[in-house]
Amino acid sequence: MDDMLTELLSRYLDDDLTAAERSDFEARLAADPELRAEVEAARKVQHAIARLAGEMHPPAALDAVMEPMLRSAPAAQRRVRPAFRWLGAAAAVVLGVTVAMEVARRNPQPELDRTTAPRVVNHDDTEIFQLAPLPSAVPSENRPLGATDHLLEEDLESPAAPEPEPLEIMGPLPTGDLPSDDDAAAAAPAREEKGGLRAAAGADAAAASAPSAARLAADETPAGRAKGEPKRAALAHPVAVTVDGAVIWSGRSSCLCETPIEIRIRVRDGVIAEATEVSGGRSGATRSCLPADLVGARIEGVADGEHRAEIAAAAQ
Amino acid sequence: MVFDEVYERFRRPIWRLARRLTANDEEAFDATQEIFLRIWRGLAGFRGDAKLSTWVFQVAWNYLRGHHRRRERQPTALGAAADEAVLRMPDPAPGPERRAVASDLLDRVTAAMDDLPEHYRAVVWLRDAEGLSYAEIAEALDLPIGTVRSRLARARSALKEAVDL
Repeated sequence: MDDMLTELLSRYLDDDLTAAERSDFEARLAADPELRAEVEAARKVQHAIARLAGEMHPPAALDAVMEPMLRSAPAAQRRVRPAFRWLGAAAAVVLGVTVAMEVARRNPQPELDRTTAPRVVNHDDTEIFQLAPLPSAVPSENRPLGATDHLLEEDLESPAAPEPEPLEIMGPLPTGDLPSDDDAAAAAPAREEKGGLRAAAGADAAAASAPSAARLAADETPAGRAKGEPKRAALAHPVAVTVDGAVIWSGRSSCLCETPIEIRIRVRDGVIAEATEVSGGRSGATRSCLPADLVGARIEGVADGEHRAEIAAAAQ
Repeated sequence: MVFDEVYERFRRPIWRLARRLTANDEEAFDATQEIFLRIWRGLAGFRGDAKLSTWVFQVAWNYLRGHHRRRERQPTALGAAADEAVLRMPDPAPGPERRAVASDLLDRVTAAMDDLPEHYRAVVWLRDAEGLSYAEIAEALDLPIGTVRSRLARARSALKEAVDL
């Protein structure tokens, strides 16, 4: 049987022929017993496949493994491992998951505006991970655990936003050409015009309400700053670090790059132990694009190991 | 649409597709979890431009296709020559020996399905097991609809030959 007839037969089985094609094909069927046998055999295979599908059932363990995901809110993602690796996990872990999900349910996550969300990046397929609660400093009952995505959608210039604290240091700077506070004030509107980024001060106010940002704010108090360490407010704008679309850390950038930067992080004991750039921003990969305090940040949403991540502006 | 509804509706179809496109139950189990994890992550962004079923199968295929490639690339202890031999094998699933002794039609169809290249297997499975239309298959597998028709026809022809009806 040639390819054309094979395809006609297949489409005949699916009732996909035009009226004219069907009429022609049925005329051939009437005249050709061999073709009729072919159609009959093809139908038997088709029905056998349908029967085969009807007899296939997923193992009961699948539902058990999926249970945490089924019970959790989209933003309160948790790491899921193949069942045989974590079904035997300790009861303490189960308790932790339950508590986390309970809090997440009471604090539903607003739907993320995908136009401002960090782009989803691929990750090593050897690892599956989901968001989990960010570290301890949960500042508000109104914040879902493990989510800083709201940073990306809040109206950061809302009059209701609290007066921002003066911006402080992210980390050591190279000497020379450091902006003064006046420079910082002048630079903020310039950034708004340039890249659509919000003024750092306004964004800082909102960022401070997020768990991780709260931790940062605490770290950035003048008392916590090393003596003599210079301010660098003008160079910092809010960024989020995502792994496979899930925000795992938010803070301040060390440069004004507007292009998302792909990085590779290595996590040990829940802490980002290494961070290296894979592809650079607008001006190419420069280490200065990495937030100074990214390495050393404690995160609980990503398992130990190496992951691909991305840094992107947290506000447009 | 909330995730648990999606899971309830598609747990069997996704399991079945995963099982058909992987070598064994264990791989299918892991693949099904990963697919639903991706669905879970992406569900908030699903805008209904496509049918939900099409989108779900698209997510599944995008994972399973890569899964198959990764499995093919896994090195063996025997070195490059053995790797090439493995790559030439259609699949580690039931082979000619099983077909020779199988008397039951379903067994023979199962074995013949497993011997099909995965891009043929996916098309025929989505059509005959899951009942997707040509257009839905085309969208889920990111293929022109003409390619769906021709692959389906070839797959059915190959199955019929293999099953020896």
